[in-house]
Amino acid sequence: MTTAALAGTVLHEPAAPDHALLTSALRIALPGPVSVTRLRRITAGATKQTWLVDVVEHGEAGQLILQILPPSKVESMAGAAQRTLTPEQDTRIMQLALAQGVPVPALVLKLESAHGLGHGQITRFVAGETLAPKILRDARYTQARTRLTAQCAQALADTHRIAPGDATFLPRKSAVHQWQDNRSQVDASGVRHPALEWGLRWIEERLAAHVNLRPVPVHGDFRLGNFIVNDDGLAAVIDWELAHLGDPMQDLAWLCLRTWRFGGPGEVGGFGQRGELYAAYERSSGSAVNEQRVFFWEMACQVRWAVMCLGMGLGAATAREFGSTQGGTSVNRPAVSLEHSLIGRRMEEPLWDMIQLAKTRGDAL
Amino acid sequence: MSQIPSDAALLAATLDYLEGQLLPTLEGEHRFKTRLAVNALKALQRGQRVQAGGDKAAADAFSLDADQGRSELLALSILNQEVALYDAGTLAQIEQMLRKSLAINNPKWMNN
Repeated sequence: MTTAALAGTVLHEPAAPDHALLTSALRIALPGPVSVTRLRRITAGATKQTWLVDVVEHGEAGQLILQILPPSKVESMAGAAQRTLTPEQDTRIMQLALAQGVPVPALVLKLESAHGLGHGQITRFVAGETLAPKILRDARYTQARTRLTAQCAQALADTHRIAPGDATFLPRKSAVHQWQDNRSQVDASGVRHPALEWGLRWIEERLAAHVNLRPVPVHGDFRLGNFIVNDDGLAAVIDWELAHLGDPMQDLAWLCLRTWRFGGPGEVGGFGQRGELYAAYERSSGSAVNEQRVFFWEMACQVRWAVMCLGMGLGAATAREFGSTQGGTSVNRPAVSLEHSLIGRRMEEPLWDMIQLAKTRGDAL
Repeated sequence: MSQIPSDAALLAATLDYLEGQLLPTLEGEHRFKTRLAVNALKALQRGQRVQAGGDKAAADAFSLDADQGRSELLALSILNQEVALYDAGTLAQIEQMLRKSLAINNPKWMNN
């Protein structure tokens, strides 16, 4: 599940992409004979659809990943406040990251309208595990876990090294922008929640220190679930749709949220220690970690995640409302996402962590 | 205290998944037992609607209880800067409200 999903999204089971169109697209992109043998949907992402494509290429079996955004989603993104990248922006930032040495899946084809499949991309399949509980607990990944912290630090340092001038297509999301976005979402929801209001005010009172920071490209959702991990550790960083120009300390903070530890013991993603992450990041980036800003972002990220939970919870509630029955017959009732409903019920988790963090630090920061 | 989504919405989403997505993929004993589970949840849903005094969509938005008004007043006093951010009483009230919600949704979260 990607955290890119925001308010009001409901899932509908999509039809499989057209086999013939997909084959045609691949025959343009790949040299030599290629045929599609099987197509399976592998995630229920709220925005993008992800399919595993079995192919025979030059007589040998292989696998590709097809990620598409239906045309209706592209149109709605154009009209709404853009919180996630368009497929084209997604592809561009991944290519820039790859050029800096960040492990990302190799691009096979950028999909455009002319391909008839929706907007998106086809990449090479990267073997490995994405499920956090398996990465954190399976004996198979014992060695990988010991390497992940340093590898994450390296990947972040490389991402943050992308020249901002090459990534001007990314949205600018400073602390101020993000606070404004959270504030407007909470106001629009009509929900008055004491802990949310406390968090928003805590952030607002500290925004002045974040006004003149030089923004760099950040991943925006750098955590287990968005890593492909193999026996050697980090094989690929995926799900770049929340990438933006902002404060690099935000990526470090997001990785340390308890939510993304999935019950693991390590402060960093459930697998690592904060000291190791900071030291490795400083070695890789040549820049000092500003622990005060990381703390600010940990607080701000707790609020951000709570607002995202709120949005998903309200989305589920809204879908239910619109799906009311008339005369015992269901009228255009959209499917309500069980996943989103349950995430809605998680809003108090980051808010609890926020209050505990604040209590341990006091009001000095 | 608010629950978002409401109990009714969460129950409905669970039913949607079990009946609309899982059941068609099952056969034999698992299909039978899942159908029983769906029926049990539908019975709970009916009971809930009766308690709510009818099938009102508005009641689905939030489950209201006695804490709701107090919670909103506290939120507004924080928003309007009528209380200090680190006021001990305010923090204690917030923590208590969070504790009540987590006790229903994920009690283990408070252990760490």
